[in-house]
Amino acid sequence: MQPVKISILGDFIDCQIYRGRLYLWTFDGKLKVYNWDDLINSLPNSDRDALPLKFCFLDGNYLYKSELVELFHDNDFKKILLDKFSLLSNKEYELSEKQADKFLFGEQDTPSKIIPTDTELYSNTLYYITEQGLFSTSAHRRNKKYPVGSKPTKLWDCDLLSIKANTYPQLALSGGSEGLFEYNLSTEFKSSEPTQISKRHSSFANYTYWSIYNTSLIEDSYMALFSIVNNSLGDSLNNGEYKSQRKFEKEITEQKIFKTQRGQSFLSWGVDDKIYRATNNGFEIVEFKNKPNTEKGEQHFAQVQKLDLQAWKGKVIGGGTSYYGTIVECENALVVLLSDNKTKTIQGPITKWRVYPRSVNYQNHLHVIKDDRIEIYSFNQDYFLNQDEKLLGLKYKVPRNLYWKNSKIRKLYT
Amino acid sequence: MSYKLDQNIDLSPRTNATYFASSVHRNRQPNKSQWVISVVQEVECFIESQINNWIEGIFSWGMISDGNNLIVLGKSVYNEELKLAKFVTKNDDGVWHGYPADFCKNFQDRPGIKILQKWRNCGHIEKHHITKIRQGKTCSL
Repeated sequence: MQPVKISILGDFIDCQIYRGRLYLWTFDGKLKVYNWDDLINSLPNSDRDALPLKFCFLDGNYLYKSELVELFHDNDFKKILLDKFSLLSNKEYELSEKQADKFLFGEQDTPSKIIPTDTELYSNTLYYITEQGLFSTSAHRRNKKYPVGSKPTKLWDCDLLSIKANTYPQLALSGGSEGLFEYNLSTEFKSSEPTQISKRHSSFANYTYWSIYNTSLIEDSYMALFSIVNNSLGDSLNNGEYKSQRKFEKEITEQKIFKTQRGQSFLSWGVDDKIYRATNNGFEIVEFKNKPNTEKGEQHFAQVQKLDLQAWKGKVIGGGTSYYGTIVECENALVVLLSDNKTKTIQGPITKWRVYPRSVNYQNHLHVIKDDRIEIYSFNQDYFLNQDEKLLGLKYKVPRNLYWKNSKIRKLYT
Repeated sequence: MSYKLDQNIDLSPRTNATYFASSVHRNRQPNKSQWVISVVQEVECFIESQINNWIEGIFSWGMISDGNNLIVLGKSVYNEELKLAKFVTKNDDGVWHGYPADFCKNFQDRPGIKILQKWRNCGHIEKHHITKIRQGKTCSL
């Protein structure tokens, strides 16, 4: 199944999508925020396109519902939906910057008046890095003149390469030769300064549940393994409540994970339950178990599986994963290895690309910024696959309750 | 024209700066990047960086284009090809020295966004080079 694509012309350099708004940073230092729902709802030129467009771009979570999985076992019903997606994928949706501006919520100078190196949106806050350090400012505001706060707070002055937020309130900070750091975003336990996780080189990082998989483009990559330790409060007044502490266990090198020797270093990355490595000869996948049942002999890392495909040319310089597949970034192309084992190549040069696996509505998106446009892809084959059997892409699970206030478990971070 | 190593070079009237072509970046020291271009080219690269105002405080950034592409200026300590140069002055004495910059390995060898924007606007690099340089990723300049 081909993806559905929307292109917006313009000279952009970064993007984010969050709670119904598309954020585009322009090369000349502006931040344009669009009403994404209105933009999508303006596209269908027939009623038959409205529903699949909604699934593609507004509510990527809808078709994962367990009630619908039963319906997909019916081949006739499944075919109706597949045909709808297929029809959409054959259509060209391209907006000029002027056309897209009809859906502008607001436009302002980018905070700090410096184009960010990397950005993250979490809990209505924009986190971004420049050569001057790590900053935060409020986002998803009602103020159309300033959709994001114009007076950012400087959190730290390290020159970072990339940042990544977790579903739990943490921010991984990759400091290149300075190492890997973490910033606790919890309002209850917000730290004044980031904590150093490792002094080893960090190009970018991703969360594998509570742990962090650190990728280095010049040294060995590794996983910083964390565990959750439950400590009883030891007080009868607490009615059996307990504190959970996230505790650093150890670093596990990619050599141990992929069972190779030192010196065989290829680019690897990990997100949630999967760790991937792109080699000269193919692609390797290791499944990561967050809480292995050691009594049954389970371990954190399952056996390496290999795919004899090498759909990319040239050096691999980045990678990422969402539910619909895994993205391999080469110097001049993006290769999307889809969860149905097909491949989609997006020719470069690529300025920036993003996936949104933490998102509830946009986890089927891939955003690709090119020289004169942004291309927003929606991949929709994953809904029809057995999540336990697929190798490529994250295993879909029903989102957990993220409202900590209602939880009886208080989490402390050491 | 020729220049001597390890001596201050007066570059007036082309620029007010004085340049010091250091031999440590030509004598195969294992922990220093090495120029592969001539000393004359090194100095010309510096002069261009000053004239074009590719300056950030005490740093000045340079490159050499052959009209279509950037040429290799030097080799890194890992013997990788480098196409950007970094020039540094100390204590406002007006004396500069420089070396081939390895933006993949060294955070201090990455030009700031203002310089990168100027280079793109002049057509010396493309937009995708900017994001890769800022994030320490390999790219073919």
